[in-house]
Amino acid sequence: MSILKALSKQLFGAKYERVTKSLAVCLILYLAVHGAEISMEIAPFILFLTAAALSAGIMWQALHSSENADSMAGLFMLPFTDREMTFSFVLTFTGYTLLTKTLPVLALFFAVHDWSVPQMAVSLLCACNGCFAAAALSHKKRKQRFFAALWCVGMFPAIFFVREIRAFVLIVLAGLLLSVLILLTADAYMFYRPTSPKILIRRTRGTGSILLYLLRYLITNKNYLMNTAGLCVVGIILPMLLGQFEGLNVMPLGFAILCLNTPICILLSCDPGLEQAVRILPGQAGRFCTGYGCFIFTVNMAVSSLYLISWQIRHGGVGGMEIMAAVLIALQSAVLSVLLEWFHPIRNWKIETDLWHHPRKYVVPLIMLLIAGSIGMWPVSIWVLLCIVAVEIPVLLFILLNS
Amino acid sequence: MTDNMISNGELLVLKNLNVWYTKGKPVLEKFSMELGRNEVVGLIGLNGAGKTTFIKTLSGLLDSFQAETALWQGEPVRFRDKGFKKERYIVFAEDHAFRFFTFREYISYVEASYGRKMSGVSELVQGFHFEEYTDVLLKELSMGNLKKAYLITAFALKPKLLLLDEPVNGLDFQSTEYLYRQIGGYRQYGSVLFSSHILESICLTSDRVLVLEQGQIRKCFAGREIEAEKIREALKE
Repeated sequence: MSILKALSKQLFGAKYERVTKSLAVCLILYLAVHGAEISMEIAPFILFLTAAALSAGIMWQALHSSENADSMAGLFMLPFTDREMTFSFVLTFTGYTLLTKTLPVLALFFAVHDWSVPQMAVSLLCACNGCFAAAALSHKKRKQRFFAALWCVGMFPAIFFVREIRAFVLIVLAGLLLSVLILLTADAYMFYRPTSPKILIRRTRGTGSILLYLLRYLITNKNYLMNTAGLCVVGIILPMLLGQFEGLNVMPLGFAILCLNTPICILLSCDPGLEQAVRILPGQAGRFCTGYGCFIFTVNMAVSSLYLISWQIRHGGVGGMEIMAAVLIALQSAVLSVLLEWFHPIRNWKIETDLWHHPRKYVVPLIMLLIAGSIGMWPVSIWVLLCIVAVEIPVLLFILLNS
Repeated sequence: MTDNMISNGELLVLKNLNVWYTKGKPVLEKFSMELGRNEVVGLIGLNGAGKTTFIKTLSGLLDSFQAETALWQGEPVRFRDKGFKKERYIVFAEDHAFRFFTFREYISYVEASYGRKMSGVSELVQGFHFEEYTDVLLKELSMGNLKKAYLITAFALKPKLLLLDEPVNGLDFQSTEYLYRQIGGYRQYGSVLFSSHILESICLTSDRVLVLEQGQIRKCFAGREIEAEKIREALKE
């Protein structure tokens, strides 16, 4: 079996069933949105930028996922040539990124606007270019990495300012060619990142608290930490954007958006070892879920506090009701996230990026947006939410602690 | 099989247990066994025979199973009941539980979950030569040391039933010998059911050896019948 085939089977399933599933999802998305006659004015450069940036980001995540190192170790034991392995890796991961992640987003773009065929083709080309650029950026040698990075930066002015489509295609093709040339000189082991030798650090103060456990989890995982830091930045900037909607209370929408810290809401799904442990130890429905809920609530509230402070500086008027809305939305989001994770963890994922972009993790943020929207439109809803939370929390605690 | 039972009273009785991952393709079929109180039982079988599946079923991890009879100390039992969970502890062949706890933190978390204090932790830590690693995060431990952390927890917790899935894997020879002594001496606290591919570990410690084949207990050895050569022959047949 060739390396390309082995990798494809690993990512798409033994019978490539994931390809059909992804294409079906794209088709359903396209037909549903197009059928609903939703239309938007979108400039072509937004389409190209989304295709390129999204694909590059996901490709980078997929190639650098620490979980992949273990699953790919067997492949790197086999005899291979650098070019065969490098291009097998790049082609398979590009295919995976385009089919499972970029195409569904592009299907939405295609459904809400009438694009010409060349524009659609160029967006796909941009997506391929993004994937290849991300792979070229992984090169071990600094010089090659520098050229790849320079070209990536150079692509942005091209996307924003080159309006002639043929010229733009030529630029994208040149970028693709540069990435291929860089990859021709690559050492295939750049895609294999074994964990570095561990330095044994002693921690003598811990007492087996699940909050401390989850805090360590958050701090150790770069992706989770980046996501949380990113949300803090969004929390500070958001009042500047949301304040522009005059006459409507848009503040609760900000609280809902800031609950979108999805990585920390899939801790059981992404750690099967932890899930197995909490399923076999007694009393974990109460012990683990309560701690986990408190953890998500604390993180949500930390981000919401920044948003409140920023709002107060920019617009003023933050009072008891606003603080109550922040607390209730953060709490409700934590409760729903824990319940979803406990009863319906995501299983059978192939690589980590499947988890990070799984549709299930957007369920809670969507519900929170609806709740926040209703609070914004009908302020009395905050009291309804207060009643729901006041009943829900004691009932859940009673059930969990006695289960 | 019943003839060979140690007549201390039955701790666990299972009759006609069927377990499957895919409907129509049972991994265990009409599996029956009895486990006596204060008994050490070794479970042996070729790869894919269903040893880990059986331990996972008892752990409550699988819900795709049916059993005609499942009794714990003479009473019907559901493997996910909190009461049953408090009476058993499991060490899996590949365990990665609570990787962001240190061993000490894990111990106090398990104590809180089981609602009881552990005893003899220091002796077990010394016996397994684990002194250096008690305050290190579990994720930073090697496979063998990680296995030791969970084994120490198991023996210090002293539940009525210990389920050990290939406990010898990854251990150095000193720790392996210490483990044999711990398994052998566990009869005073409860019963041990453990799977292994290493005949020596089974022969040195077990009161009974069950040979698992194609999802059923095909043979049972007890007392003087437990000899490596006889078991090897049984596995070849």
